[in-house]
Amino acid sequence: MGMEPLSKDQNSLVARLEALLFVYGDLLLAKKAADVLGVKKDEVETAAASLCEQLEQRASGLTLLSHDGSFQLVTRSEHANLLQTVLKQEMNESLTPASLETLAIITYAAPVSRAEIDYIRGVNSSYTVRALALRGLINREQDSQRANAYIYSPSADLIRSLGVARVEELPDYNRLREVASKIKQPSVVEPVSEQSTSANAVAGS
Amino acid sequence: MFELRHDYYVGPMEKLLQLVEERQLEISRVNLAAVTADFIAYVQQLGETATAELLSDFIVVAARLLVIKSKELVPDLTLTDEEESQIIDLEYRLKLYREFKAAGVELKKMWDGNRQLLVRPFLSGTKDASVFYPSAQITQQSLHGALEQLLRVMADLAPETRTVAAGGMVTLQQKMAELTDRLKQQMSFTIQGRVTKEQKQEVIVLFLAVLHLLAGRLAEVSQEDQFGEITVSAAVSAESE
Repeated sequence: MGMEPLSKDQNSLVARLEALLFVYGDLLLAKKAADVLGVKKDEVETAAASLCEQLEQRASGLTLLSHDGSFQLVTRSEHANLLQTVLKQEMNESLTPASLETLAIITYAAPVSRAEIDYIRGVNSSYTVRALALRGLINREQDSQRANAYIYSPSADLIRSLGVARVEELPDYNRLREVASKIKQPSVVEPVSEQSTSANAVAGS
Repeated sequence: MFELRHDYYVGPMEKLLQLVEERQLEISRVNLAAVTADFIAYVQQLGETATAELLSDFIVVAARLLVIKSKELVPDLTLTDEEESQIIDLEYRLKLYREFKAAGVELKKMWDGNRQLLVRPFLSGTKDASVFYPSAQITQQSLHGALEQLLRVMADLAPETRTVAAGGMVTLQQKMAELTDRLKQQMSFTIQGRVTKEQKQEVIVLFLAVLHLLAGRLAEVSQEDQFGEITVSAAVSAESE
């Protein structure tokens, strides 16, 4: 990827951002990084993109995780095995089929409500969703559209556990994202099959 | 407890997809009709073990399949708009479900691939997790002010304390000693049931003292009527000592 050569100032901003992320360790909001570095948020975003590319170019053992407006300096997935032996970190406990499909829905359709998850799975998913939230694999927030409702999205921990640095790197992301976008309006379901010619496709109660 | 098992149950969409895929069929109305009998057989068998909640989820799907099947058997059957849309909805959901089911399998591969991106703990470079880093606003004055304010707030919240009325506090020991003296001199005295508010505390202590004397077998009590006067007299054994 040929990017324009960086000016000295930009270069130092990239370096400063890298240093900041290194020391900080945790997921850092672009806004917060901007405050610390004394620049605008979009400058941080540009610097982050440059940092990511620089790491790529010199085949660094690190890469930049980018999730939900935050950044984090992380190791590359190919080193996970090597580092496991050093860290003796517990292997991720396996996931049940129910939690996997729920996780898939949340990951690709985020932000998604429990009603939407239940709609696709045909069963009450409250237990599964709660278990996933307890394991820190999904984030839960209040739905700004509806009172007393929550919406769910994948957590940065989940993305890291799957070995990718951003959700877009997940398999078949764009197509599944498109598929998932149709769940949003279960009341105006578009006919998918060739046979369904009926004009009024309205989901049942 | 029971909910834990919920996670392992096969849901209605999953079962329906299994039935269609076992026969290597596409998801279509005709093929859904073809697996209806199998699905209903499964629901019947499920009825013996599953919870009412899970069963009802299955029955919703089974009912829709039956509509599809009926239409298949009786082509002339006219379906209402609602039935028609429910059929489309079922097909549509099953297709969506298949997509995410497959995506879940992919996620599982990635999950099991042990390719996690690892991170440094928050501020691990600072050696110690706890860093003393007071904000610039923290000064001797501001801390003092905050503490005073806190005390003021607490003073408002504290429950009212009542000062003991003039005459001072009566301790149990005092009262016991007093009673023992009285018993020695008078052999008996009475306690009246009715007391004024001011006397209340004293009567409580008095009563406790009497109980203590009773426990120590230093006194005997008798009460003629209910709520009547209580006569306290020196115990016979106590006198002989």
